[in-house]
Amino acid sequence: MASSSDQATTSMELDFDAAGVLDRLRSRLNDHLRGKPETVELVLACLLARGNILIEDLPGLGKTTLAKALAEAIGGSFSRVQCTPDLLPGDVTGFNIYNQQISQFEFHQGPVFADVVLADEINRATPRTQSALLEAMAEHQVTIDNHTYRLSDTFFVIATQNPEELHGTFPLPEAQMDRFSMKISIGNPDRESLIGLMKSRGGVLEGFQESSDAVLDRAQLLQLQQCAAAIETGEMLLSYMADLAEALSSDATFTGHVSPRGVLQWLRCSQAWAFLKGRSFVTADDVQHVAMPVLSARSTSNMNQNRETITDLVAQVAVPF
Amino acid sequence: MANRIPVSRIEVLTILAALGGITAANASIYSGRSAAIGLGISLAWGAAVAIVFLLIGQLERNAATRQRRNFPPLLQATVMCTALSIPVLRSLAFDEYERIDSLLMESMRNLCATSAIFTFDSVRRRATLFVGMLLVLFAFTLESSLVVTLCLLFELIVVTMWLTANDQHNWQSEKHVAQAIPWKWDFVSGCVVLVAVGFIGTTLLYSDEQRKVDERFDPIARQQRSDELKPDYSFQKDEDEEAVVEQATEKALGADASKSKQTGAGEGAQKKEAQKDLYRQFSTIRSGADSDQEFKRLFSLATDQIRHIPSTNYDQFNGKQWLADKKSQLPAMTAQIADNQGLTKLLKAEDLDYSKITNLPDINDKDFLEQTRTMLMRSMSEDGAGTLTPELNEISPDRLRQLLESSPDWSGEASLVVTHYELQALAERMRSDPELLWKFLASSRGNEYSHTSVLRTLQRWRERQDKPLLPEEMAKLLEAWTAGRREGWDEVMGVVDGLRNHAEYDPQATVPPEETDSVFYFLVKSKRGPDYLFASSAVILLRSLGYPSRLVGGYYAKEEKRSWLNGQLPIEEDDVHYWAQVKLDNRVWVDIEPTPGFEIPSPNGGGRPMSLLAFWDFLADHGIRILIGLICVWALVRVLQKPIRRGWIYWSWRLGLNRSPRQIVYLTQRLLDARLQSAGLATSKGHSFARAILPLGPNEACLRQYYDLGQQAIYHDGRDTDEALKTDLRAASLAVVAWLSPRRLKDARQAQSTLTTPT
Repeated sequence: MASSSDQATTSMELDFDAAGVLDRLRSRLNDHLRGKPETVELVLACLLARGNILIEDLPGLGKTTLAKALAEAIGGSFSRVQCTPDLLPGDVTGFNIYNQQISQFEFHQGPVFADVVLADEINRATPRTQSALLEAMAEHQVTIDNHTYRLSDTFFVIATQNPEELHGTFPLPEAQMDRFSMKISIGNPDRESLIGLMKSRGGVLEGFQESSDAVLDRAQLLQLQQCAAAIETGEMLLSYMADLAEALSSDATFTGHVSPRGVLQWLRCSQAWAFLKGRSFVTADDVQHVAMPVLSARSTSNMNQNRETITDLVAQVAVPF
Repeated sequence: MANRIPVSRIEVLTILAALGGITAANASIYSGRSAAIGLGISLAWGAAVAIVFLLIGQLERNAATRQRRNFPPLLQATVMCTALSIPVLRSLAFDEYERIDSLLMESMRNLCATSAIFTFDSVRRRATLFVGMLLVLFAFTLESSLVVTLCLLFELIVVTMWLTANDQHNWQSEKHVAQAIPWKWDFVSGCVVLVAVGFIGTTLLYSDEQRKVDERFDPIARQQRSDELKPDYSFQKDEDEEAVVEQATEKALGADASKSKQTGAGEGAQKKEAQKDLYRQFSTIRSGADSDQEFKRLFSLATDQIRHIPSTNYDQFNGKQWLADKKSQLPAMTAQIADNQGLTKLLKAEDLDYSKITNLPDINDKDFLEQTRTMLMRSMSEDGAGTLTPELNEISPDRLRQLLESSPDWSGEASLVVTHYELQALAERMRSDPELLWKFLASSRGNEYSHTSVLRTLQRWRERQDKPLLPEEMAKLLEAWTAGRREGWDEVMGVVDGLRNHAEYDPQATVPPEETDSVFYFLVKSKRGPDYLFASSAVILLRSLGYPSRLVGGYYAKEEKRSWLNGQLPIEEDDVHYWAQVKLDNRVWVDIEPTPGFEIPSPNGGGRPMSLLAFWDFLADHGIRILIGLICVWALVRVLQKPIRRGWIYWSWRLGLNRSPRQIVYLTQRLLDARLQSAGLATSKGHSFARAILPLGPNEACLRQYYDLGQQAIYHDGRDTDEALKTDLRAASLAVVAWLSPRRLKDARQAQSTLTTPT
């Protein structure tokens, strides 16, 4: 799809084969999450845009699998937080404990100090815990007892929530939803993918899968993220996005709020998408591609209703090309 | 077939309701004809509605579900609006002037009937019932015939049943579901009984006359009735008064009457009669029309060429020119001109009192004739009778009257040329010069031309005067107004214009009772007054100049009262107006309007600003043509709009290929969008090239190339001046437009539709 010249300009600044790395990453993820290349693509875009992702779907559709595979693939540490109502902020961020031997407080790092954090069923945690996690997501740092700890440069949160069982949950407030770049749902795999999945896992017990090598290291990931952020955004594209933002804020059917931060993340995601497509500039198509997951994260209504509203809205704003 | 789709009971009720409404409306519309005709027409309407309803129901049914589908609301609305507007259109287009309420009634009847046709639509059902009910109530307030009353009763019962009816149940399956879901009979019967009791109670409690709504509730009818009862004198009142008197006398004589019941019944009756007679002598007050009442509408005027409608009857001109409405003081005011007292007293022998004879005749005195006779006798006896003709010697009051009445227009014509100032002057001259009087009377001999000779004598005498016989101030005014005017119409208009500018029109102004000469008072002292003073003054002044003129009473059509709907101008009692007429060329009476604020319209209305009436006339004459013209223009625009727009878009692309890359992309995009649209491939403006056009030929090299180049032009800043890109893009644009021909698009559309249809 991408012309060879564009590909060349992108990889010239890197000291490794970006396209090859991305292809391997893609195929690794597709191996783990069968039949969902679109979702994988979106997750990759979110990763490259340095955003966090919220997966809203039913249990057992591969949310955790995807998160673990991603963590493995980018060669970072992976930690998982299973959110429950009795989860405390300290359980997420870490805490100071008094070491009697050295008579000093020692800091024990929490799960957020990993490179990839999976916050499972995030809406089951209390708002207090949610906001501790969300501070980490927004600022890439945690503050414990007046001491601020930097998190990993490639810190990436995959949060999941179950849209069906809402009993005893604490729905994420709109302000916190804004911290996520995208909200996606995986959905049931099609028949062939299901059969393929069953075949591939036929002889292997759960928990005994061999761990695979990392596809890229953290430095390479950082480089890729910087490349994605450098993708050109022309005047006309920016004015198109401004049009979209205006249309969204003036539209009564869209139940949500797209803040400037939201628009900025939308733009980052669009850049990452263009980068994944091997293009050196962002087009309206890129913006439209990521519009659905980005705007879903900023809307309060349910997924299906969102889909219609957003499709209509996007269809109403004139594209430059 | 018909019973395959049962008619629900609610539909039957609706049609019945519509029938009630139509009957009530027809009873009102055809109130001039007999009730049978109205009922017949209503039945025909009802039958037509029912038949059309059944036909439409069969046509529109869905065979699969055995249910009726509704007609599209647009069609229903169109049919109903057409029916609604037929009466209005008729009245506008065919110059048929009708009362607005009957137009409204007809429109509503049509609406009700057409609404009933679509009764299988539940919305229309409610509308029909509502309009039907409204129609009946409307008819009831206007027309209270028995038919309408029955319709109202019927409609009330239908509403009651409606309230309890079940919308879901069919009429014919009623027997089966009757047990399950019955009518709420207690409610229905309760309401029906209530309505019936009210109706019967009203019938019993009120007499026939009281129940006649058109007199009880219609103020116009009531007024007409009272007008019929008391044309001039209130006989009714007299009767009432008599009754009161009778009661009073009976009371006073109660004891006597009871005492003399056996013996003196006749005596008591006599006494009562005497009392009544006594009362009658004193009860001379006659009640006139109330001043507060609404003015009766007399007739309507459609034209705007005439504003003055005279009601003066000159054929029966009998000294008193015209008896105005009792309300106005006109007769007292105009008596001076119209009556020309001295002369007309000659006609009335019964006014003569032979016992009162004085020396000098006063022409304004009511005993003038007798004085004259006495003077004549004296002069005859003193100067010798030789100069008198024998006929004059024998003249008696009766004879004189006969003489004058033999030509009825004598006094009229005399009064048309003579003013009371002249008569006064004449009387003064006669007083000093009895010979003149004698000559004057001697000319009125017993032949049929006597009146003309008298007139001629009068006119000649006046012509001999060197100036008009008027009070000094009035003469000055007249001189100022006629200065420099030529004799004839010019001079008349001089007087009229002078009057119009001289005094102020004030309909409330009155002349104080001590003033004997109202015209003098008006012209010299007050300079303000009602229209008849202007008219009287004009008449006096013109007569003094020798122009025969007369006062005219009648109605003035006020243009602002014209109805915007039918262009008619109602004339009401209120519009009483007085003006004058002058006889030109001794043949033609011409209206003159001396009162400021009132106009005589110019003959053909040329140069007049286009009034509302003219606008309506124009609309009525050319409305259909204008409408058709507008429709044609609209159709033309609709037909030509697309080709013109398409051509413009194409040529602006074609000629814009030399512009910047972004402009090229923009123009190409517009052209492609237009082509997609005309091919029926729906796109929205939010769809990019990749989404809208690329799928049409995913492997087409020209599309791909144009896509790449276009993206670079649009999304790369700084490529807008790139000449190489521009050249490439121009070529790519030409290739894309050539490839995306309308034909190919059509094929693509067909392929798309064949793809989607099976799924």
